[in-house]
Amino acid sequence: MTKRKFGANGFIFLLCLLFAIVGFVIYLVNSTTGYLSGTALNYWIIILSVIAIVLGALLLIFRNSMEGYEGLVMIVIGVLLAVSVCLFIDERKTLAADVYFIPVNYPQAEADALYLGIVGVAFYIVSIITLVVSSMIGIEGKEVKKDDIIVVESK
Amino acid sequence: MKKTRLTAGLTILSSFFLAGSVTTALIMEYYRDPLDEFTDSRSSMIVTEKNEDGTSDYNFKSDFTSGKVAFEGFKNFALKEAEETNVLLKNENNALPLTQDKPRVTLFGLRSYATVYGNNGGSTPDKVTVENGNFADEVFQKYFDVNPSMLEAYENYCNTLTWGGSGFGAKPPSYAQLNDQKGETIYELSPEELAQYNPDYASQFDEYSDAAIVVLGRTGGESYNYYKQNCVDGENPTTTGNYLGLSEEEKEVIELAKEASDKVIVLINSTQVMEFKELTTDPDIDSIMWIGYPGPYGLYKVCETLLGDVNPSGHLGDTFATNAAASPALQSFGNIPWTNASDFAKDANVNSYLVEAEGIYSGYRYYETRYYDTVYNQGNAKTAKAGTWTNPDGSLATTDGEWDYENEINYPFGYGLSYTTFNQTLDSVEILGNKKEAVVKVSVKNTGNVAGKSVIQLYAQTPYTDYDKQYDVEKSAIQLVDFEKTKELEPGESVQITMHVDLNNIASYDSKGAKTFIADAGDYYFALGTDSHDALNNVLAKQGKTVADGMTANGDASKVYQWNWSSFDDATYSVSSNGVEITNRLSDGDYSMDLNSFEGYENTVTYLSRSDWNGTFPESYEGLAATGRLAELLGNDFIELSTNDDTSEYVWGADNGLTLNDFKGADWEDDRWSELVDQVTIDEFLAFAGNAFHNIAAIPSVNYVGNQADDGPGGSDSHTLNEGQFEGTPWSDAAEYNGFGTRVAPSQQNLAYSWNKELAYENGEIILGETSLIFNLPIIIGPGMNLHRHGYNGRGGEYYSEDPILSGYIGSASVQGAQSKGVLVNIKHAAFNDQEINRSGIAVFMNEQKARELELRNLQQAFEGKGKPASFHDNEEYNDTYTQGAYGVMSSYNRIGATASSANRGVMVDIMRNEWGFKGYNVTDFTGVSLKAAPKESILAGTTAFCGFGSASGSVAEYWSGDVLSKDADMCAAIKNNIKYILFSLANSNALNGVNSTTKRVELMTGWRATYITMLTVFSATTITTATLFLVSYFRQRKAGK
Repeated sequence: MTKRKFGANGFIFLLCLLFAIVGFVIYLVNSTTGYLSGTALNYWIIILSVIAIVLGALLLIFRNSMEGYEGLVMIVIGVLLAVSVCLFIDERKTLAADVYFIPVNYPQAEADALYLGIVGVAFYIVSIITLVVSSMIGIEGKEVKKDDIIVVESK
Repeated sequence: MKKTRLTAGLTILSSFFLAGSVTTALIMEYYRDPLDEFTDSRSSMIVTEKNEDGTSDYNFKSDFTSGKVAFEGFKNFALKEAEETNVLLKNENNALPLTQDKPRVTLFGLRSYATVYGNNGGSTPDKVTVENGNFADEVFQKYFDVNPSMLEAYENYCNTLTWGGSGFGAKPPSYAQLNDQKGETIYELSPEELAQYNPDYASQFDEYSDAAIVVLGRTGGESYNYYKQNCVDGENPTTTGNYLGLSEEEKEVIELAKEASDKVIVLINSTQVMEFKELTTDPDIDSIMWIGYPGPYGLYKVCETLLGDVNPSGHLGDTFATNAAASPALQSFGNIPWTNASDFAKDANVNSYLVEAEGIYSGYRYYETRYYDTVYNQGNAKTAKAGTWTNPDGSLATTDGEWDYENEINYPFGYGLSYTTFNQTLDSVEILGNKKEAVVKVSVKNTGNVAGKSVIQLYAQTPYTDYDKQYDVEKSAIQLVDFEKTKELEPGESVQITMHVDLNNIASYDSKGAKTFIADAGDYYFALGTDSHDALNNVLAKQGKTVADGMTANGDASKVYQWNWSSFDDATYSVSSNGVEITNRLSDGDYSMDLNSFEGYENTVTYLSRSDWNGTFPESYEGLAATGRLAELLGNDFIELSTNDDTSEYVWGADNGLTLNDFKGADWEDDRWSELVDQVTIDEFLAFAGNAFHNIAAIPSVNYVGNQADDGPGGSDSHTLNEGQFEGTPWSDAAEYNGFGTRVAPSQQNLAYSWNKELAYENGEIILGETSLIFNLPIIIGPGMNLHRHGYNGRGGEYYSEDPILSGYIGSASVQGAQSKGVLVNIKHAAFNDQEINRSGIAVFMNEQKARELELRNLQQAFEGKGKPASFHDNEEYNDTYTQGAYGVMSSYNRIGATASSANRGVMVDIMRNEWGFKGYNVTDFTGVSLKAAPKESILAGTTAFCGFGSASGSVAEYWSGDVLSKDADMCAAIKNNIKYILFSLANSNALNGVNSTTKRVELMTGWRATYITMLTVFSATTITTATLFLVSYFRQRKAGK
């Protein structure tokens, strides 16, 4: 029998996913409430983010069976998140222009929407940075044999 | 395994940076024009091959052939303008001019060092010019021996501050910590604070006592907000309780100045109407001079005026009230939110409202008319409830009392002194039979001892009748109808000036009876006056009144002409000069400005009436909720698009083989226009309309390659002389003027205070016109022409005056001058931008009489090319001027009534385009294609462009396409019209200067392009490399079975 313990490396990857989820939720909230309520959502951001998050979750759940594809999947997740955040930034460029080009010319709700958007973008970026770290150290940790059981030891 | 992981991580990182680089590149290209402006780069240029026959394609000629000529040209005009914009208000015992060769003076007041050169935001003056030898202390020291100890105190203090500002566009020449956009902090150093920065600040008062010059000021600009009675107590208590009153520290500085010298001169460095009655009545204050915002060079002329080298000839263009809080306009002002504002979509920009219940009675129309009624003891004029009158000490009365003109007014509209005296004589008046024009001849003689210029102010009084009372038509007891300024007259010299007075401007708008402009039966008067009050006193004298009746002074009946119209006339003024019937457009329906006309708001507003001053005095009307149709209109989405109209008659994208250049200077009636218009597609129109931030987008189907544009009205916001060129060739000496801008003249308000139409024309030629030509910017957004409803609009310095004739004629002259150089002017902001508080979205309500007789009458002069100076009438050189009104306009951020300004069909179509015959370019302020501009409704109302960056946002994106809009017949018709407006105005501007059939736009490499190209190259390479390494490693690992 082979058993894999969920170690610190896994937690880093889990954090990556959590950051991505928070960034994605902020995008949804940012786009559907406040100043931007009623505006059209960018479905590419939704599709790409959801695929990235689902892929990450699958990798985490089926880490044993997907062990050989770990790096490849993480690259795919990274690309998906990178494109998502870039689209997110592009979506908010006019909001930033409103606030920047002619100061004090915008409703406070518009500034609030921009600031919330910036927070969302920040979560995406932190998620990608965490993913880079996670991809370099892996998610399965160091394998230690104890009798016939394989234990993943936390670093 | 480790290698695989490392390369995986690096691949993710690289791809992230690559995606970021792509995004950066896209955003940079999206904002290429502002980026060019910000970085002083040029990402594209228009290239034209010269004609083989040597003929020139430049139909508008610049006089500035080099950087040197331009630099000197702008400077010389700024100095010329500045000579006439200072207003001498008080000069006891001829304290001025100072007689010493180089007087030894002490400068007092923080603004003597940290002078307010101009607006902070919105026509910000050129900082680099100030920094190159023109700081206030440098200028003062060129003319005076300045007390160094006092100067040191201010210098030491200012050295602790941050000079300049940040952000997009022109940087203000001011200390960042001395600007207060909220109008709460008054910056001044008390004697104790002065001692902190130089303990010996008072040590040389005796040595520098020829005069104590005190400079008091307030900052202003775009987005600057002032509130009444916010300085009653707290950190900055003022005499009047208002931010524009004098603070305790300012009064301490005044007292210090009195100790330092027997001669105290006060300079008012503010375009906002400061409240300083205590200085006017203080016998120890010898002289007061208003200098407004002088620009980078204006202080030279301030000093020369103090020394007598320049004779002051400016006059106030606003009423200087003792305490503005007692004025009717300020009763409803500021942030008055809809109680249910949060119910609306945020991008609909619903915030607050403004009920201008004072009607026509703002500025002198209020003070002088109420004064007139006190003399006649009519209309309950003397009785005043608490909060509506001013105590003798300048504070706002808190009990019921008696209204007294002398307590209310510091200086009346039109006031201004000279070092000489003039005698003006009303030689003759001829009222033409059609009642449309009067020819008035006035003689002026310099009766003093020095040369000077005199301003002729011609006022009118029209009868206030029972008909008016029945139909709520209000009448000002006095109103300016025309003005002229003489040339410089030597002592003893005389001149006669013939004025052609437009009598349309004495008609009153009657929205309830005749529903058009009317002239009552009764006695009419023309009166000369040194100011509005003097003119009214002259009328009163003609009517037999004296000081015994309560007048402030006896008038001179010889300066008055009286005539009688025996019958009521609702026909003469009911048709516009464009031949269109004038009737109610703003009194009912969706585009009404009268709140009372909306269902559920009947009788909400009581408009101020001279039939009962005290009983109808305005209130603030707080606590209203938006409901019913009014709420629907506020949502900015109130016209449904059809999806199945028959639009087959409209042709888009036709191949007619015409180019815009074929129409250079073409007449509106040219029958080829429809063929040219048919070449343009709806999507091309939308692309043009959406990309209008400092930009005129290309229209490929007519071979128009596009241009940049810029914000005015004081000159270019974002371009400097190092970018200058003459007819397509960069100046060879351009680099020598790196950083120097063209915003060097005094403020627009200063210009109006010159009361000089010819000077305003020259301002248009040079400040707008030459700026446009040397930078190849066909659109310069300006002039700013909103009326001053009161002195509490923080942006007032960018607008001219409280009076529609002074503002209208100065603005019209500026437009004519600018258009003589091919500028596609954008008169801003149409209309009713009466305050900066909540300016984006605020709903402005008033009755149609006020709208038509004040703001719209003001704008109309520029749209119809009215107000031709007397000197132009007899000069062939100017035969072609004033034959064409303005070619362009920028709408306002505020709502007109309940609709976005650009969507208000009553103003934008019925009045502006139909009544006034406006056929030009109409752009929104910086709204972008968003719900805040009600884009589809605005296109239907003649809007040709939306200041923004192209993409439609929010719900607007659902219909912002040719596919959708082409299915609505009304929309198709509107877009066709709008395309013609665009092409017509461009064809008659310098947008086609130098253009021929070879003209094309070529892309250029810039620093910011090089940056993103480098980023793309580097991160593409690293991504490919790391991905390859990963794959190699990955397959090796798989092969190894790991």
